[in-house]
Amino acid sequence: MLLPLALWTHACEDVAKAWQAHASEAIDVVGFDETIAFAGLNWTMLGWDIAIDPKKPETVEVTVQVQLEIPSPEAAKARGNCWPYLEDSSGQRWSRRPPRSREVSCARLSLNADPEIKQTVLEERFVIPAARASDVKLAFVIPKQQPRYLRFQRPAPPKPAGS
Amino acid sequence: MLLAVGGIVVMSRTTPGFVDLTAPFVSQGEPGEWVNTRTFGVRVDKPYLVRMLRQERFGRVEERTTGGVWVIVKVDAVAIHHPGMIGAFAIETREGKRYQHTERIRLPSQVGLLGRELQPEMPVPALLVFEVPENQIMDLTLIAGEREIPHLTSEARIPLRWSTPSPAIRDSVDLST
Repeated sequence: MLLPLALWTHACEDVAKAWQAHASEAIDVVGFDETIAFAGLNWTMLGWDIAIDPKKPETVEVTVQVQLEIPSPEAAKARGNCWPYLEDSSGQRWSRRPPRSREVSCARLSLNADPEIKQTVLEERFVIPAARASDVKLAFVIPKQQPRYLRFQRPAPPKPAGS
Repeated sequence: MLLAVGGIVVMSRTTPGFVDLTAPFVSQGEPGEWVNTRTFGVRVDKPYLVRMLRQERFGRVEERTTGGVWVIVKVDAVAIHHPGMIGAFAIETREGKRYQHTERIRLPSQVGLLGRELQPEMPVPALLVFEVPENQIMDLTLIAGEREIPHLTSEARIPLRWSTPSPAIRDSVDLST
């Protein structure tokens, strides 16, 4: 009886940490243009564009823009690493393409914390299977906030004119 | 007391060792079919045997020979469920010796797999390159591992099949093409 108790006392903290690492709790942002506070910053999705390459019809490129209000450079640095994903309804994820030279990406934000900047627009690009384009949401995973993570709904496509 | 001692003796003889307890989770399959682990999938297309590799780098043509033969394996790879990388590749001989993916050849990022992030549902073609003694080219097995240290990680094992009992060895291949 003492042995299981000793094992549990020794291991329960590690078990809790492992459980937390695998758990996930999405904070869903339903409305386009809705602002939400997360990890000390205010997040607002501004844009969601889909581009199709006729030479590669099986995939699409999704480009998203998210506005961040940064109360202080310390808030940006304290946030630490930031990993954007597109996530489908089964929890499957796709990671972003490497940022181009002028793009402000989530990962670079904490590295380049300019004290003058109070607001910035993140641009993240993804290449995903075309079949998943209508099923994905934009997720931001910040390790320090786990198991909670932020998830934006894909905006509804505009209705055709005349309908 | 005797029961406790007996129990301890039986357990010490029947309990698996550390290596077995921390063995990788192995998925096996055949060439041409997807072999899926918990985190990645790999499919072997074709293996080739070559004596010399050519590669153009920085405007110069480099040639690499080997004391054995070069084994080039064409594969397709994909992540399962979440983006990830395949951390290690090796060839295992009939005797159980393993030869890791070569570091003597730098494959372009579009062709190599080490350090390349894979995505779900979007397989990528790639080349793997190994050096193996010429007298051990029969009964080779490709091993793809989630990490270099395989404890409690995913591993795929696929035998390499040759089309003839005495597979041909090409004189050279230009990896730049």
